[in-house]
Order: sequence, then C-alpha cells, then structure tokens
Amino acid sequence: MTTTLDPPGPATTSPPGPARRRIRRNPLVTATIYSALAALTVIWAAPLVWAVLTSLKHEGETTTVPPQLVPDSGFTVQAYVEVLSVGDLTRWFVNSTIVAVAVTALTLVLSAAAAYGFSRTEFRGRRTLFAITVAGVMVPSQILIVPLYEQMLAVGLADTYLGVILPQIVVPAMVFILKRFFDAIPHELEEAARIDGAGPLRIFLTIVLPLSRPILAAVAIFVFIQCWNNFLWPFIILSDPSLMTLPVGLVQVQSSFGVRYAQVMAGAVLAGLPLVVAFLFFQRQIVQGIATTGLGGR
Amino acid sequence: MSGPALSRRGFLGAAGFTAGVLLTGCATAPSPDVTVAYWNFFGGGDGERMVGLVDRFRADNPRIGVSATTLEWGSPYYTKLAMACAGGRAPDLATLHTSRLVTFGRDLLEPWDLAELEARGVRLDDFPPAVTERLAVDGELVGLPLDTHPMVLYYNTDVCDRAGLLDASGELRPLHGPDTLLDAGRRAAEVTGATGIAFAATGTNEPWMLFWSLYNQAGGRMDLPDGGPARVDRDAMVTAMGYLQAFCDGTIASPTLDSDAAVATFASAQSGFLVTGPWEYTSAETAGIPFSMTRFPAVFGDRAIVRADSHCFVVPRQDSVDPTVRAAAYDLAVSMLDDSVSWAEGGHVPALAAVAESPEYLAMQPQSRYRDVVDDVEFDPVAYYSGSGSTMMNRAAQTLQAVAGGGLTPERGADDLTAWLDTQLRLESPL
Amino acid sequence: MSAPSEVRRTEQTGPAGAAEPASRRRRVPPGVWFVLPFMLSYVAFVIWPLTRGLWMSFHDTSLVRSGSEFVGLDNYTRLFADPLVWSSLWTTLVFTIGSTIPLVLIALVMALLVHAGGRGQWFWRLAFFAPYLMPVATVALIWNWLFQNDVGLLNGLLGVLGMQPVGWTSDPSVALWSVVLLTVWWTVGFNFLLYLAALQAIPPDVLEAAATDGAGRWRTTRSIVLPLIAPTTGLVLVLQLLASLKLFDQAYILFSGDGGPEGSVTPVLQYVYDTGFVGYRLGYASAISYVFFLLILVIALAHAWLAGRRRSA
Repeated sequence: MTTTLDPPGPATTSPPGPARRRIRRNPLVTATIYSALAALTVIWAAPLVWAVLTSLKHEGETTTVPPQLVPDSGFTVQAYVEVLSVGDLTRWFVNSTIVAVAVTALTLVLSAAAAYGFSRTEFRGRRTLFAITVAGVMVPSQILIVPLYEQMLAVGLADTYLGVILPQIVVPAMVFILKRFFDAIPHELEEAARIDGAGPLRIFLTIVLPLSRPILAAVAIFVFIQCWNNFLWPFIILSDPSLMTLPVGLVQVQSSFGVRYAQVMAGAVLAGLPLVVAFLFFQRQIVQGIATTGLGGR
Repeated sequence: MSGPALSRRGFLGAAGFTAGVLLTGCATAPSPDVTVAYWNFFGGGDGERMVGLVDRFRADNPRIGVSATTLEWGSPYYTKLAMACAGGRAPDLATLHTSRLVTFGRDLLEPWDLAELEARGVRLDDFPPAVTERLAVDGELVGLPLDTHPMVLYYNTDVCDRAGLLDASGELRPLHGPDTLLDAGRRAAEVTGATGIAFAATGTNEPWMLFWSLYNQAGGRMDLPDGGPARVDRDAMVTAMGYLQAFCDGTIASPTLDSDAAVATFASAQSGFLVTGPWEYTSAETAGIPFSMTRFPAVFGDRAIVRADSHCFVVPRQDSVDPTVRAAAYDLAVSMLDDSVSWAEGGHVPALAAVAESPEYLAMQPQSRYRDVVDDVEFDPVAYYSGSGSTMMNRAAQTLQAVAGGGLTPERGADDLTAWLDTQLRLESPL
Repeated sequence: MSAPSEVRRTEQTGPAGAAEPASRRRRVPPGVWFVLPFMLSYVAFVIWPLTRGLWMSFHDTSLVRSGSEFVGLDNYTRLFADPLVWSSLWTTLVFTIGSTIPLVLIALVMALLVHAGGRGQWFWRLAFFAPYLMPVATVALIWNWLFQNDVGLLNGLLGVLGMQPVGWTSDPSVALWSVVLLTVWWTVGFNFLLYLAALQAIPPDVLEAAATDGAGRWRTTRSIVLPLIAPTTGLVLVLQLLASLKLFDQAYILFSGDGGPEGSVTPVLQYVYDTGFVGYRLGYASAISYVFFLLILVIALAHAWLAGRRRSA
C-alpha cells in the first residue's frame, strides 16, 4: 500500500538512466570522458592511498626522502595494533556513536512533530512560529558558540554528553524540509481515519510518518553525517578526554611518544573509515539523503 | 480530547527513553581504590620519560590509579585546561609552564598546602628561589616546580671539529660577542654544505626564545602595566631583531625551517648547531650523531642571559573535591619530583635541590653541563597573555617570523610588536 | 530529485490543515503540542544564545571571572580599531572566494562527466564523495602529512618533476591556498552530488529533442543542460559561500591553532575562538561574532532577494 501512496515529494530520487543512450556516441568523446574521470579519481584517491600506505609502514620508514610507495621491509599492521591497544580511539568511537545517534533521534522527533504541527494542524500563531523557525536557517551555529558555552557552563552541562547533544538537535532547515513533504501528502488519506475518530497524534503516527519514511531516512542520514563529523561544538564544550568524540579526541589528545606518523595515519584512517564503509553499503540511501536535504540545510 | 494528553505523554516518553539511553552511556566502569586524573602536554622524549615517571608511581602505589592524558602542547592545552577549570570538572593534577601561572590567576588553581607537602618530605627551600618566586600568587605557592628549561646550544662535535671550532679537549671554544656566533655558523655551514645552525625560524617557541634572550642581553627590559602603554626598550628590540635577521640569512641559519625540520636537520648532521630548548636531547641522542650541549653564548653584553621557563605541577580548582583523590594527587606530584633525576635525563635542569646536587645528575653528560645557567635565566614578562604557548608568544612569533624571513625590517618589527602590546594592554584584563 | 521547481509546486498543493472541524472547544489546540518541543528547544538553543550573545557584546564578560559590567559600545568601537578583526575578516573573504570558485566548477565538471559517462556511477560517486564523509580531523591529519616540507608526498612529487619544494604550510603566501586545496578535496563531493541529482532530474525527452535536432554533445550541454540546472548552480553557490565563510576547523587543526605562518591563516571564527576562549574575553568575542553574523545575513538576504527577483521576472 505504501508504494502506491508515496507522495510525489522530493524524496523519490531514482536516477533515470536511459536518456543518454539515445544520443549518438562518439567513441573518442567517450574515451576522453573516461580518461578525465580516471584522472580525477586518481587525484582524489591519492591522499587516501598515501595515508593508508603510511599507516602500514614501519615507523622508521615513514620519513624516507624521497617518499617511497613500498617500503624496503614491507608492510605491517603494527601501527593499528598500537593505536587500538591504547583504547582512546575505541572510546571516542563509542562517544561519537552515542552523540550522533542521540542527536539524530532527537532531531527527527522534534522536527517531524513540529513539521506536522505546522503542516497539518491549525492554531493561532502557527504561521508566525513557522516564519520564526524558517528565519532560524539564517543563524549559523558557529556564531552562537560563545553564549552557548557560557549557558552550558551556567547550567552545569559543560563537559557532559547532554552538553554536546542538546545544542545540535535544533535544525530549523529540517523542519522546513519535512513540512514541505507533509504538505504534499493528500488530505483524503487522513479523512478516513478522522471519521474513525483518530486524533492528530494517531494520524501522525499511523498515516503521516509511515508515508514519510524516505524523507525521514534522508533527514536522518544528513543529520547523522553532520553530527558525526562535527568538530567545533564538541571541541569547545568537551575537555574531559574520556568524553571526547572522534574528531575532537584525534586532534586534542596525543600519544606521549612524539610524532609517529604511521600511528597518526592509522588513527586518521580508522576514524575516517566508518562512514565510508557505511556509504559502500547504503550508497543509494545516502546519495538520496544528501540530494534531498542538502540543498535545504547546511 | 485525549489528543493533547496523549501527544504530550508520547513526547515525554520519547524524551525519557533517550535520556535513559544517554544515562546508561554515561555510567563508567569502577576504578581501583581511587583514580587521579593527570593532564600533561609532553611529547617526544619528554613524553616517554613522563610515562616512565607515572608508571613508576603506579608500580609503587598499586591502590592508586592514574589516568594520564597528554593533550596537544601550547594554546590548545592551556585553553582546554582553563575551560575545564571554569567548568568545574578539571583534572586532579596538571602540568603547567611556570610562565603561564598568571594566565590561570587565583580563580582556577588551588594553592599547594605546604604542611601536606612537608609531610611528604618536600619543603619550599628545596627549590631555587628564582623559580619559587615565579610560582607564588598572592604569597601562596600555586605551582610545584619540576625543572627549569633554558634555551641551549647543541653542537655536533664532528662538524665543529672539522670547522676548527673545538679546543684541545674537544669542547666548543667559548663564543662571545655578536660576530663569533655568526662566524661559527658560517664555518659550520662550509663543513655541512648546507646551513650552519639549525633554528626553527618559522616555529613559535624558538623565535621567541632567541628574541627574548637577545633582547635581555642587549639590556632590554619589558614592563606591561594594565592600561598601557607597554614600557619597552625599542633600541634593544631593534638590536635583537636585527641580529635575528642576520642570523637567518640562509647560510648561518635557514629562515624557513619549522621545529620538526630544524631538529631533523641537526639530527642528520646537516648543520653544526641547534638552538632550542633542552627537550630535544632525546632526538639528538637517538639520531646517533656525535654531539654535546652547552649554554647559549653572550651575544650582547657580558652575561649570557637566556630565556627560560619551568614545568610545574598545579592542582586545578574543582567544583567538588574528594580528599582521598586530592591526597593521591599530592602523592603523585611528590613522587614525580623525587624521581626527577630520570626526568633530567631529557635535558631539563631539575628544580629539587636534592636532585640537582645528586651525583647521578652531575654525572649526566652533557645534560648537567649547563646547569649553572639557572642563575642567568630570564622568564617571560609577567602578563596574563604571556608565557609559553601564549597569545603573546604566538603573536610575537608572527612578527619575528616576518623579520627572520626579511619581510619586515627590524625597526618595523619592533614597532609592530610594540603596537600589539599596547593594544593588548588597553584592553582590560579578563582575570 | 530535489529540483526546486518541483518543490515549489508541491508546496502550493497542500491546503495546510484547513480541514479541522470547527467545533473544537479545547483550551490548547493539539497542534501546539506538536510544535512546542521544537519551539522550546529552539528558544533554548538558538534564540536565547542569540539574545544572550548580544547582551554579552555590551558587557566585559570573562570566561574566568564571574560577574560582568556594562561597557556600552566599547567592544564595538574597539573592534573597528582592531587590525586583527579586519585581517581575519579579509582572510575569511579571500578563502571564501578562492574556495567557492573551484568548489562549484570542479563539482560541475565532475557531475557532467559522470552523468555523460553513464557507466559505473557508484564508483565515481564513491571516489569523489568519500572524502566528504570523513571527519575534518582525519582530513587535516592526512593533508598535514602530505604537506610536510621534506618528507611529504607533494614535495616528493615536485622533486621527481625537478621542481623546488613548496612551503605548503610554512610559506605565508601559500598557506591559505593549501587550506583551499584541502577543502576542495574534502567537500567538493557534496556539491558534486547535488549537481548529479539535478542532472539526473532533467527529463530525457528534452535531451532527445536536442539530439534529433542534431545538436552535438557539447552544444547540448552548453545551451540546454547548463541553463536547466542554473537554479541548482545558484543554490550550490550560495550554500558554498555560506559554508566557506565559516572556515575554522581545517585551518585550526592544520596549524594547531596558531594561525599559520605569520598569522596568514587566521579566519574570523578563529579570532572569535582565540578572543573568547584562549583570551577569556567572551564579551568582545560576542561582539566580533555579531559583526560576522551581519556579514552572513547580508549575503543570505542578498541571495534571497536576487532569487525572489529572478522568480518574479
């Protein structure tokens, strides 16, 4: 049933392919296109490949001049073993996960409810409140760091999970995007339920939300990526190394053994990996998530 | 009618659930008997030795756990520590540069309890007065000194020998006056075929260390009264910056090296000298080059005054204090002091008299050869924004980098730095 | 398919909750309960700090001292005489323009190529978009390593080509462009995905018509495809401008917070951070934040105004 009822909202991105095939293909042009793509790919992959290669070297062979692709004494996973044995990295990984999951869940709950309120219910001041919400898109969170920090300090939330999470759950752009989607859901669908005596909450939970799965997924993916990679706010609010998220811990906390490039790169690679691996598995969903929400909210 | 109530309950339920998830996440595993949270900023050889000190304490005190954290040196460390203090969740013990005590003022640190220290066998007169003077805020001791670390001169004995700079006993012939050092650099450069003196002209620490030493040798004094203007000796500034520029001419020293590169240059015998703090002893040692260390010479005047700082332990202010943890923090600090002969291996001059006079330290070569420098050290000017890794060092380094690279004349450099100091002083102190 | 035209259409179709029965006598309409949690959080974490920041900008609030005094416009007059405010704003501006142009152009070229290539889309998307999925810490650490003077890959490659090494992070005239390079590599994938989505949303029959008219691939792209995705370009451009203006993370991490060689990479947000948290001057930092906010508002409103004019034209 849901498939036929999918509203014609912005979330139905499925790349249409066939059009191009009807244009006559000049093999030379095609070759040019693919070589250009290959060249760009090499450039874009090179930093990562170099980082991975470095992380797999023996510590003594990372700083050879000129740089070597393959070290004389071969590769080793020693740097990974050492980085993981310290334990900080796994701790930060857990912290990042807690924070990103909580932020995503809370943002979804708050935004979807508000969007539903703005889209499908009637009360005085609704339009004004919505206008105020939309105006919030203009306020970059970066300019709020000073007062927000002071505020968190005052209520004792500095250096706590809640202190990291709460300021990140208000994303006006997501309310806007969800409202736009809810607006497009045909009203007839809820009429039947209403006649059966369903209140707004039941309509929200049993009709609107199930119909909105694609857009909710898109919002969730977008918020999750943003939060997982967020640096500035966690960097400001967290001082306790055991509470730090991955990006913050990686930058702030050092190994006591000086600059060990293989280990630094191993840490960087491990921290960069999770979302890239997720992308391999959920590429379509993530691309859709970005494409549908990206224009609205960065 | 049930609509509003239900939806509210729904929301509360969702919120409660999330809060529950968060709280479970917050609960951490239990520790030994008591755990001391200790922060420091030591990397490299110092980092390894610090780990050694902490490990020895752990071995001696199995009932006390230590969670030691190394944060990035410099402004990031100090900012994080101040913010942690302001937030009331600071670590139980932390390392600080003595020059940064002012930054922390009276509100962020607890004074040391002298009776408690004495009970652990440490008394105030066990330390050099010049250092303890800098560690007192309003007559109370807030920092427990571990060492003094002056700017020193490393030299490659092989390169210097070939450059004819060593005396019969194989030691560096005394350098004195502005030209002898430059000349020694040139002669070393001829031997290495690269530069003579490895110096991190694009670093933050090194340009300041050299400038502050030269400025003081040239008779400069600096007084930074609240409200301004800065009382500085412009002539001495121009002299010091002029020397820095002549020093970084690309032959004697390069104007483009950063800290790591400078050390690497010396470690690979691409230079005859290295000018930096004593903490690079380990890097030079592990590089396996033939080298020694001595005091940085008197370039101007007769006294070889050098810029120095010192590491000290502080007890940050916390919202709630657990007395057993506090006692354990005292134990840890004193244990590290008592052990500081191994710390001195890294090149720092130990602060505790018993250690500084111990035969083990005196036998340490070349680390103990410049220990008498302690009488001729000059700490950074006193201001809440000065000291190691401070805004002032950072900002001064920007000017000095430009002077060293030739982008600013010494005169313009002196005016640039003074103007910044004036601006800074006009602002009211945030302390 | 986020083509804005479609979005606008859908917005008009929703009669927005007009179907409420008129016989309600409840004190609190149910809609309020849906909106309330968000609005409360919004007040707590946006409106309140926004107001509080404004209040702080008129006070000498300090990070380490409690209590603060009203200082009137002092912070603002000081700000206009503070060369670091202007140089950091200038740095931010140069970075914004210098990074936006390649970030939009390269993304467009990537999207056109991938769209034209047709095959193996997942692979190209992975290659170009993967960096965007990495935390800034990873990106900055990797590039710091590439930028190393003596042992870095970039100078190593230059050496192989017989060229002089570049002081990527030590030369004050280069350092900001190194940050641009890093940023392009890191975030171009985002714009690329937006462009790709826009290209894929072009109805096939439009292109077919062009093909039957005998238009070549290049001409089709130039005179049909580019105008069709112009709205996307407008949005990508303004989003990129706004994102680039917020430069802080990568510059801070790459230079360990010291502002780069001779302070050449100190963006305004870092100056806010340095002033407020390193220098404890929260009040002054708030004033700088507000001037910066004003700049962002001007750009955002200018875009809204331009977009509005385009629409009505």
